[in-house]
Amino acid sequence: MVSKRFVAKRLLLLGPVLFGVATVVFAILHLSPGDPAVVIAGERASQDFVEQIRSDLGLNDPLWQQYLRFLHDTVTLDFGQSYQVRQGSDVSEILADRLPITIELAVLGQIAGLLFGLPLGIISAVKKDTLTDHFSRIGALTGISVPIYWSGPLLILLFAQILGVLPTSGRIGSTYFIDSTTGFILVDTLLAGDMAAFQSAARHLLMPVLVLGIYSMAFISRMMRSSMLEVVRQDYMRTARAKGQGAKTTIMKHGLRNAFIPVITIIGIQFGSMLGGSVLTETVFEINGIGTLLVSAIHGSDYPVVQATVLVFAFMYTLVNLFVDITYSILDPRIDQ
Amino acid sequence: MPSTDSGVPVSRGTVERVRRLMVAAVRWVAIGAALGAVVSLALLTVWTPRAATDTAFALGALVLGFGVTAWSSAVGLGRTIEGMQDRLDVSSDWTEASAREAFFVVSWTGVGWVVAATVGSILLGV
Repeated sequence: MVSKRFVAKRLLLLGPVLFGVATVVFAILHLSPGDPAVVIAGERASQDFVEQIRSDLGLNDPLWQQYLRFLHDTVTLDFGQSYQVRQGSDVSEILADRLPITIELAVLGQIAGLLFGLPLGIISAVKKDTLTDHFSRIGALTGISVPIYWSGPLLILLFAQILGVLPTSGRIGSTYFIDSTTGFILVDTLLAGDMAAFQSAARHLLMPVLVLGIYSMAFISRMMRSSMLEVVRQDYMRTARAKGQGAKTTIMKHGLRNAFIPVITIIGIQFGSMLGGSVLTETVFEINGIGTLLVSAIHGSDYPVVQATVLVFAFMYTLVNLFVDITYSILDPRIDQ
Repeated sequence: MPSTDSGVPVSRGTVERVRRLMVAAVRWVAIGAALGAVVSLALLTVWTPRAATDTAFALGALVLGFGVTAWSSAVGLGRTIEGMQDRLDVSSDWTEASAREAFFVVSWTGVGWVVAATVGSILLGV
């Protein structure tokens, strides 16, 4: 079992991480050019009207006062209202609408990465220095090296334009109207019992998930290979084989669990890349998730939306890593000693 | 270096460690405050008092935020990264302890900087 002290220590780190991220975002936003009051009022608005908006938003106060107010609002989970993206709406509402879209994409991307990356890494390690191993390593290296803004359009060109088998953008065909219950389009279509809509959603999600999955797969397979190579050299593996256990059983029963420990760490760190990658993926595939929200909010100097979005990213990243740490310590109890 | 003398009670060691950390923190806060004052004064020569103190504050907040985020990441993920480096055979001189120490310095410097910019803003009445 995982010790409470271990979990408490990890949970305590959430505070400084979120404080640090909030402070960095606040500082960057106030150092970058662009006046939210002008964005709200419009380029042709009178100076008096712009001043009135600045005063209403508290932007005329000294920056240290704005910072203290921002920290107070963050602690009380009051992210304020959007200046520009969805003017006047609560930022929490906007995030609640968009967050499931990105989570769905990131989780499916991670699952795709695991489904392909783990077997590839194991096969590559077991068949070390063979043609299979070389191909797998080249594949992994290519996956790590190819940026999403390049692989995305390339897949669109191949599957949507040339082969015409997959849609280019969006989350579901325009003929389907599904009520958002959970926000996860695959789950919502299943709950609605509309299989045609489910298929449409699955086809729409395939390419973005593939793009995110390729990167993840490359990293996981590389890590799995090196980890597995180390494990297969261990004495207990040799002992199991000497006692007459088959090669496959030895690897699956004794090797996999031990080799999986460092891979779990990678999965946690990878989740951050997934969220970062979702900004690009959502932009390329025109998916209205939290990534595109962030891009629009930055363009529109929408401070509350940018601050809340980045904080949510940081919170999710830290939580996933906490979960990974706990899993890690379950697999290897020496960790929380 | 931690004492290896088994005769020294653990609590005294902890007190000494905390004292040393506090002295170091105060020193870096003072250095940060000096930096913040210099930056504020430098900006005052070209900008209005409001713009100068706000920019100095934002720069200090950037240092503070970066330091705290990196420090907590080093504490949370440091050991993992060390292990990953070993496993991938790309070991460098980077260690969790050295990162923690470095970002401790950055964080407290940021605190001093931010405080100096705030005091400057209050003194100038902006």
